[in-house]
Amino acid sequence: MRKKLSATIAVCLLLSSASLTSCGIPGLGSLNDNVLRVASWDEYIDMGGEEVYDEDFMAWYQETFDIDLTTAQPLYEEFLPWYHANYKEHPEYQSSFAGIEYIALQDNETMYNKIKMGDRYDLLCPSEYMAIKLKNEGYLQAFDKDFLKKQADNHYANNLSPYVDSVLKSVALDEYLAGYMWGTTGFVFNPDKISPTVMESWKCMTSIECSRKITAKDNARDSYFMGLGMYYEDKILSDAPDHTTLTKWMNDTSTPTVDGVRAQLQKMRKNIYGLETDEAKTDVIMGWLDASYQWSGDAVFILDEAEAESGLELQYSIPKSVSNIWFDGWVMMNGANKHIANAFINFLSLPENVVRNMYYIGYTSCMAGDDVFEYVDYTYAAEEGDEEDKKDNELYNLGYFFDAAFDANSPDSSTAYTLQVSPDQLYRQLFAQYPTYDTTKRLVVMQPFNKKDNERVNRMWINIK
Amino acid sequence: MTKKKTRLHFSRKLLAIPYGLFLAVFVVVPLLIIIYYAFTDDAGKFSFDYVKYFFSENGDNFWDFFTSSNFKTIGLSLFISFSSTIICLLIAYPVAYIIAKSKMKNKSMLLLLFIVPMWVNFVLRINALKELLQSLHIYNRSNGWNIFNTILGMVYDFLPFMILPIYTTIIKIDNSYLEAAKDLGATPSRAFLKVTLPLSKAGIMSGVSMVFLPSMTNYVVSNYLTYSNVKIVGKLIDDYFMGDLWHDGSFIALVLLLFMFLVTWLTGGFKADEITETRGTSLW
Repeated sequence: MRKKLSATIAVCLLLSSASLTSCGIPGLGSLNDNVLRVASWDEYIDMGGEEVYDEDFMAWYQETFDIDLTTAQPLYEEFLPWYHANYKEHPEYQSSFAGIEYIALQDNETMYNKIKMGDRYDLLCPSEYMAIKLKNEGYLQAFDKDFLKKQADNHYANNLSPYVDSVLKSVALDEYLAGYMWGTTGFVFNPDKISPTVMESWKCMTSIECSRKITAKDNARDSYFMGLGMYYEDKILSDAPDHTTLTKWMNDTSTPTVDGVRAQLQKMRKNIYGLETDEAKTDVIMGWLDASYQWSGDAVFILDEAEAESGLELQYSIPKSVSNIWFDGWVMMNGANKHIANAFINFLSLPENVVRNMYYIGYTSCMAGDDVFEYVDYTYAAEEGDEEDKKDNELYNLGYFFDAAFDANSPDSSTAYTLQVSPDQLYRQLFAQYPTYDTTKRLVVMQPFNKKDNERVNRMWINIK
Repeated sequence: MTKKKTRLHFSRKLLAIPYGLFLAVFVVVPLLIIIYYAFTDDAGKFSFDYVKYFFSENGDNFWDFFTSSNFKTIGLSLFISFSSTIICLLIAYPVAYIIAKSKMKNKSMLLLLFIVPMWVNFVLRINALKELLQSLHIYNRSNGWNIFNTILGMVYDFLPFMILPIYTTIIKIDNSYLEAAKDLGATPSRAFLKVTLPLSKAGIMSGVSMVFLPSMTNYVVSNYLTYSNVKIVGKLIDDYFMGDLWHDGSFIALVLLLFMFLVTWLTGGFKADEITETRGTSLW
């Protein structure tokens, strides 16, 4: 009897493993020259369709680009005709190219697991830390020098913001990753309930003012960064370290630091309203919750919705000491169809498509260019009014992001890309989308942890939450 | 030319094959994988490290366990399960008793009233409960309220699982036993304590294990009703797996399995005859 049972188990194990290896695990794709397999996130590209754009925007868009948006298709579908129309003369032109397979994944970890299991894509859109990890593990191939050179028809190279370019170089990703969207992390809060000065410090997470009024993110990376912020804040403010040192501190996983961070996070955990991944958006919009730690793109959404739904004038703040800059971008896997992948990135970098993506997704594109600036100006510039109104307006200089000739030694000399905005935009959507130049000096990239440190940090976080 | 006629022998034992296969693929194999993960490291070598990490975060001192968050989580989880089970029992027994003893022609209609809520998706029900708690201003108000709300959610969720087995045992009790007790001079309360209650024990035990065990792991309830501020064992396991700590998660899954085993044993779930007594009615 026992023998029979074990035989049955053995047979069914054999059968299942045989079926798995012979026909491949369902859902795992391989590469095909005529189709570009693209893995990205849900709602992370303009999907077109009716009632997506408001009339005012459509009119502005028509006027600026001379393109009618009423018949807009998802951008990954519009790419096919565009490619065949624009790349005919290209020496590598591939007449058999048949389109894009766009796959929306859940998060970076899912993407990583799929790749580990043997899934193959031409293009991926991971966040910076996952891109570094994939690069270190040898899954990625670099872009050609030609693609990254500023020359005719290289829309990506021509339009990439000098600021994003410098950030990419600082983490040695500039040859591997083509920037797509970027942002910061900070606090969305209601200034009527909590004083803005409190929200300029990481210590707000443990302050009495925010007691049971604020939420943190329920994931180890964001929380660890927050813990580092609380741990190093005083030292940063008194020592004023240079950017390299700051980055080193904010990526510190040595034992004493982890212990210090643990103490801070424990205090934080007792003080806050709760941890969340998505729920806080509604709560803040409805005014049930006064403050929340958010990614800038979501912050813009919350600020917009709170005003529309419950008439709340919320603000966005980035701690004075240091904060996180994140970005998502396109990377090519080994064996990818380079030519088509490059063409697709160029297509997405065209100003008319950058604007559509920014409008649809609500995040900030890594692309600069005059038309994109026009769009930012259209969105945020103060209404034309009489002189009385105008004198309250503030100047908001985005030279660091848009001006190719921007010089860090004399930031004020670049004035071509200056907006005239109403004063509240200094703390609201515009600030969330494009932080001021001074703010960018204290934004650091959080690198991936190595496996051992990652385990330690995760274990610590699970023990705290 | 001879043609051999082969006859298919179809014995009742063959009917067990689908379940046997199911059991092997979805129970035995995963269990073996969990045990494998709990006692090996990334290189696949035998390792006790993750047992140590269960007892203390740094894996160096076993006595840290009593101040560790794992200990708190398991303790809180046991408290919530225990309370939910007691409350479920206190509510379910009278209900099941009254329905079983009612003179109504259509008792199952009455019983249906308690089962219909189960037809609505339980995530929806818990979300509705959350709204209700919010309007009462007791949602995520303090730790005490959070624990209360979790227990409330568990009771709401699992009450039918307590009512049904108790009902099926009570309704099967031969009325002549009670008549005999009455004839021999027992008061109704004495008859209840000496006859009905002992005879419905199997139903109670079955109900207890059906409420106690799921309320250790059903973290949808605790997450939704407490803004994730109450953490139960099920959530702990989820956290470890989501945090790419499969070995830690597997060991805690084993610990939980031990609890399940204990409860099943204590409630007599391994005695086959008692269990069969409670099953096999129209409802199950």
